[in-house]
Amino acid sequence: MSADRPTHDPLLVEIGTLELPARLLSDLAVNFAAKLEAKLAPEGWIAGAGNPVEAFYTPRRLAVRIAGVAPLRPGQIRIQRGPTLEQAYDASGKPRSAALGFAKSQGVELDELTVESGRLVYRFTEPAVRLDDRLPTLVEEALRQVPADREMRWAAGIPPFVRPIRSVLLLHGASLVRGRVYGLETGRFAQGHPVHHPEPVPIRLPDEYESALRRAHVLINRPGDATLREEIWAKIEHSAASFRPEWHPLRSAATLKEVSDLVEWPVAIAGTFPHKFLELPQSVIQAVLCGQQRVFPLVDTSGDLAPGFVAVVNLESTDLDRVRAGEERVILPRLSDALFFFEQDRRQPFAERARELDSIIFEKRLGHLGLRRERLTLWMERWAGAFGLDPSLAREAASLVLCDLTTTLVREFPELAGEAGAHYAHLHGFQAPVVQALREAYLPKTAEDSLPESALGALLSLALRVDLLAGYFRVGEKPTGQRDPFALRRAAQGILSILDPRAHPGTAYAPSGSPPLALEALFETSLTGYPASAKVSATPASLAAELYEFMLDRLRARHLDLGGEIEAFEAVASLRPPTLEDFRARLDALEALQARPELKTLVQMMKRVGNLLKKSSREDDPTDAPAVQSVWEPDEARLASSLENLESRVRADTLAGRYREALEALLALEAPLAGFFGSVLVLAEDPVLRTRRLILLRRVESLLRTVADLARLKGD
Amino acid sequence: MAAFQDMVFGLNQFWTGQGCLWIPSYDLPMGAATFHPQTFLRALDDRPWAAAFLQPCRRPQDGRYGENPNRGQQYFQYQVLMKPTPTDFQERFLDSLVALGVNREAADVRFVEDNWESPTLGAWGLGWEVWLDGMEVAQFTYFQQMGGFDCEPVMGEITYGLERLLMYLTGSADMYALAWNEPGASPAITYGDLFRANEAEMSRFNFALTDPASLASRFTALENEIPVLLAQGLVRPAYEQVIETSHLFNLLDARHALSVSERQRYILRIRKLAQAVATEYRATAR
Repeated sequence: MSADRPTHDPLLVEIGTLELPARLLSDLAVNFAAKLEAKLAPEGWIAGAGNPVEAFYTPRRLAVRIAGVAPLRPGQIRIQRGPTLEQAYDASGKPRSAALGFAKSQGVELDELTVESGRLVYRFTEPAVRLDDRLPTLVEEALRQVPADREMRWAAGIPPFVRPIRSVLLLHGASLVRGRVYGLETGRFAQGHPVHHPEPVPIRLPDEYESALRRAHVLINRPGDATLREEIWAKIEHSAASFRPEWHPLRSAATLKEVSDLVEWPVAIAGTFPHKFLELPQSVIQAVLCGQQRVFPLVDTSGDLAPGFVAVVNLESTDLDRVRAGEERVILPRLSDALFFFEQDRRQPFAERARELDSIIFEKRLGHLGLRRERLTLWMERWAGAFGLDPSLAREAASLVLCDLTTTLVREFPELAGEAGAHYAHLHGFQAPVVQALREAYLPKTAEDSLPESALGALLSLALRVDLLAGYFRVGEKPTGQRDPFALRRAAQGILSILDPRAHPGTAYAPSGSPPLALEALFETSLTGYPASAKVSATPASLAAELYEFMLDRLRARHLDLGGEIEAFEAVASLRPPTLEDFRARLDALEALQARPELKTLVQMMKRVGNLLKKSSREDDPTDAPAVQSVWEPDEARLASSLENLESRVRADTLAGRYREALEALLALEAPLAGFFGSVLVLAEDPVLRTRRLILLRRVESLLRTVADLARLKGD
Repeated sequence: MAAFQDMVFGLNQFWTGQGCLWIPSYDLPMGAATFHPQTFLRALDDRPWAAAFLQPCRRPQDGRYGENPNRGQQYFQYQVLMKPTPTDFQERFLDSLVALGVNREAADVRFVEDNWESPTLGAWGLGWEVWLDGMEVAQFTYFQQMGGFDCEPVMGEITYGLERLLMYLTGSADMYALAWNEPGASPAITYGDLFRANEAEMSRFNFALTDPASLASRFTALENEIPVLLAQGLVRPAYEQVIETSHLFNLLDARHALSVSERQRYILRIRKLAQAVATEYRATAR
């Protein structure tokens, strides 16, 4: 453009805070960057598209850097268009209310308006705005819009934020942008490491942000970037290797993420714990070390846990041995507690614990755990056969699966449910398949988690999830929007994963049962067996239907997450296939043929078929064929005979589940249908002809709905 | 800092130097220093307040008969309150650690998210637990609500867990071995000398010898008194009864005398009483 266009310099915004919650940090950084960009971009501050907006964070700061931001938004001429002259004035030239109203809405007198192309317009010059005059306001607005589950108020007259804000850095190129944000004077200083660099860190240029902070002993993190995590992991490995060369740290992605969001200057330090604690099941030790203490267990060369760990601290201590001793001292009572609980629990015969379940409330409206156990047992007995399992084994697994909830170990470490039960069941002599099923009962815990390997484990995991969903739906507790307090969506995802054969390469059992289980039927057994007093929100049949729809919603989300197209999904979903296997088979067939040009043409013509059928009135559409035979046009006859050929074949293929063959066959309809539309007038004057042709089209429509509703596909 | 009493003196000296008023402990059993009327009630009005105090606390269910070196049914909290909260509250807290002998160059101090909630007091706040080399030694909270009311202005609260803090300072793994006075003093008294027998006896009492039926009926009697007291504008006596109901509830809990749903009902009963007191206090204080 013109030469007076101002240079665009990078902008750096940092808010220094007290320690932000680790679990929220990366989301906060992403949201702050997004909100700030959403403030700056529409006002034209950001130069061009594709200008990188970078988000940064540490536990004590959130920052955003934008590569090209204008220092000035030039003054510009603005034109507001008002009513036409006819609307504005009456025949005598007197202004009507439209003219007066427009002037008022612009805050000007009538004579300040001008006429352009037959309209009243208000033309004015909007003054230039300097970034310095605008940015502080926009930063504060963006911060106020960053979503947080709970906001903190810390001082009167200051808006709330996740944690107190202590400093605000606004740097545009080399210049400080002066102003006030959250009651604080802006500056060009960032917070350094609290011990290694207590003085504020001057930032000269936005691009020197990371390097200046690194010199001040602060390592900057970026959302979704593993660099810092890997840097920390390397330190952990190094620390372990120099501590005991034969020990290696056990990587836990969750702990590594958490640790990297808790420190600004990570230093790894290895320590030990007494050998006697290795009597504990490895999962218990891991729960204590990773879950409670956020340190990394060490394993020996054979992969067994060693009596050691690596902790990550936030400074280069002048007294490393003292820090090590401190970490060791904290771990000791936790492991002692766990060992005490474990010893106590193992003394009681595991199966006896079932009696205690009646006195533990599962959920107020859903009754106690004893009732849940009975429902699970019934469910397992009913479906064992479909998975090729012995019903008595299924019954045993179901009757034991809740027992570990009465152990002190699980009360202390809820995440060990399942794992703990497996240990105690093993100690008390239960058979290996049951023990394995108990261990697998809560898998998958997350979307990335592994699935049960045994059929009994898979069935048990399904039972727990189906019962959970059915129970909460029964009392009307369905997830809405962001609200899903009972994690029902995750439970549904787990069911889909377990029933998805593609998630189980090489498993010995049919993951969807054999024959595949109908989704609605899965829930039926779980909709009864509750306390009589509980209010029920609907009949079992309608609840099962609601649950089917809910599963379909999850399946849709999963399909889209994997990059699938919504149209193909809806084409299949509209037929409401009863089993997931059937759903998947139809979708696979459709996706395999989707690129075929005949299919696209067919889909385009389907829209036309649909429109014609919609246009036709009811009397045009008797169910019986017309009695009078009049002359068939060639293309009409050709379509009729193609239909004749295809209908039985497509239906036979569909019934046999040969969806791909059925679809391939359907493609043959494209040519006759095109010919038909090319030469035959569907809405003919003669009602007999019209009806006959509409019936042909109805048959086409119905045929193209056998595998999936092809009309829902994209036609372009 | 090697002795328990010196640590308390040190905290007194430090925080009175920061403008806090030293006030006495409250003379009723309570589960946490937040129950102190100078905390609960003061958080509800709009007047400035800065105070520091030692408070013995009781959690009957944490009793271990004096046999667990990390846990007891009685323990000591040191509480600091500042309203409005100074902007450098965190730095002042860190300075207090230095005053007690923590070497900032050597110790890994961390502030880890910990959102405090007291369902019985209808209260919650946002803040941190403070780790020293991995050990939680203090909680740092900005009260957001008390008795169901928004705290305005916000009161900041620091609660030191004194046993753990001294265990950290002395590198000890046994709370009963902690020195109460100077280790060289004569006689040299340990924490165990003072409280171990108490722990053993109180654990037996709490876990086995209280009478749940009488605890429950005392609870109900207090519950009935509170509205009567409030009707006469006696906010502080009414609040004392709330503190007592809370302790009775803790004793019942230690006997495992409450089912899950009953337990929840008791919590709601206490909360209702605390809210009634808070409402009356605000009506008279504002």
